[in-house]
Amino acid sequence: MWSFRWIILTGCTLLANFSWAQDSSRSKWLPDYAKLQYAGNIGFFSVGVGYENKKGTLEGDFFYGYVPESVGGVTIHTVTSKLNWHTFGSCNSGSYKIKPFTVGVLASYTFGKQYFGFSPENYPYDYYKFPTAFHAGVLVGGQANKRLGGNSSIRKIGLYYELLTFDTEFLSYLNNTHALRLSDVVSMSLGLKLSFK
Amino acid sequence: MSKILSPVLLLVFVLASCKDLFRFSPNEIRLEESEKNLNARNIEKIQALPSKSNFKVAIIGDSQRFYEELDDFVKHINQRNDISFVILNGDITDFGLSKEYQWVLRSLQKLHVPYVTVIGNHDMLANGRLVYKKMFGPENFSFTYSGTRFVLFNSSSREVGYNGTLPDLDWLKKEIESDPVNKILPISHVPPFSADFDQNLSEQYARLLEEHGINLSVHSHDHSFSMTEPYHDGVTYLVTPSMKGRSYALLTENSEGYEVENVEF
Repeated sequence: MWSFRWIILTGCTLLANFSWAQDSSRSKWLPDYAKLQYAGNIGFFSVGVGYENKKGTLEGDFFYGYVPESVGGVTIHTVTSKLNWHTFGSCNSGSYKIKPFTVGVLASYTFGKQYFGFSPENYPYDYYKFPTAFHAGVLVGGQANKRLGGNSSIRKIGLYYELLTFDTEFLSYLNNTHALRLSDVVSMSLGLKLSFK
Repeated sequence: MSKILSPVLLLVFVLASCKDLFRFSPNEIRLEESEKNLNARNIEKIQALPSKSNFKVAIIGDSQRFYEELDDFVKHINQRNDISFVILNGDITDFGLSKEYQWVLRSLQKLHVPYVTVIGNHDMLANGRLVYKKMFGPENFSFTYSGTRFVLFNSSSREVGYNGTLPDLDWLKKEIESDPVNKILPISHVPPFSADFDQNLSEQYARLLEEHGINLSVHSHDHSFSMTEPYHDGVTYLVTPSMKGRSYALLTENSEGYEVENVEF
C-alpha cells in the first residue's frame, strides 16, 4: 500500500501548491490543470493532474480513482494515465472555447492482491491471456472551457464528457455482436477541468 | 454562469440516474436484487417440481465469452420440454468480471426451466469469487431432486495455489455420508485428473467416491465430451462439452444410475 499512499501524498502536495501558484511564480513542472471525474471505469470519483501542449490540442492526464464499497460492492483504488487529442472543430466564442471532438486512450492499474499484472506463480505461461490488474481503453468525447477573469490561480474552468470502452468488454462485444449490445460495452464519464494557465 | 450550470446540472442528474451508463470500474460489483442468491432461488424451484423417475438434466460448462452460443443453447433447451433443469458447470465468465456474470445471467434468465451454476477457475479471477457469492451463493452446495442428491463444489485448486482447501474433501465426505438414502451425484468444474486439480487430493477424491458406491462424477473444463474410468475403480468420470462446442451432456436418470448422451444444439 506504500505506493498508494505515495500517490495520495503527491496529489495533495501538488493540489496544495495550486492555491498560490501564480503565473509569475509558476514552475514549469507544476501541472497545467487538475481534473475531477465522475465514472468512466477509472473510479467512482477520480482526481487527476495533467499537462497540455501550447495549443491545447493534446492532454496527458494522471488520475487516482476511488470506488467506495458502498457504491461498487468492493473498495477499489485505481491509477490511470490518459492521453487525449482534441482533434478538430475547436472554436472560440467570447471567453468560451469548445473542443467538440476528442479521441483518447487510457490505461489503468488497480491495486489489490486479487488482481495480477503478469501471470502469477502457479500458472503455466499464458494460462490467462489478460492481466486482471491492467485495463486499457479508448474514448471519444468533448470539452468546453470558460476563461475566468480576475487573478485567481484558476484561469479556466471546463467541463468534459467521454464515451469509452475497454479491452476485455469490447473484445467480448466484437465476438458476440448479436448477443451483446454496444450499450453493454460503452460507458460514460463526466468531468471538471480547472486550468492553472 | 448559473444560466449554463443549471441545464448542465440537470443533464448530469438525468444521466447519473442511468445506472448502466456510468460505470466505476471493470472490477465493481453492482447487482440488482433480481441478480442475487440465484442458486438458492432456483433450487427452490427445482424442489417444487413434481418428482419424476427417469428425469433429464442438461449439463454444460465453460460459457466464458460464448454469448451467442449460450443464447442458442437457451433457445434449444426451451424448445425441448423434457428437461427438468440445467446445470452450468463452471467458467461462467472469462475474466471473473461482474458485467460478464450479468451478461450470462441475462441469457440464463430466459430459460423456461430452473438452472444452477458451479464456480469455475475463470470465475475466481479478480473479484469473481465475490461476484459468484453474491449472485449465486456458496461455492459448495447440494440439493435433492427425485432420489438424487446433487453435490456441487469448487475444485479449481490451482486458483488457491494448491493450498489444500479446494476441493473441500471434508465437506464433500460429510455431504456424502449425511445422505444414505439418495444416489449421490458429485459435480465440479475441474476434473480430478486435470493438472488444475490438486494432485495431492485427486486420489483421495477418487477413493471417496469408490468407497461410497458412487458411479458417476461430473466435470467440465476440458472443453470436449469424454467418459472415462481413469482410476479403474468402476467410477465413470464425465467431462461435459463447452458452450463453444455447441453441445451438452444430457443425463437421464434410471434405476442403475444415469444414462449420458452428448447432444448437439
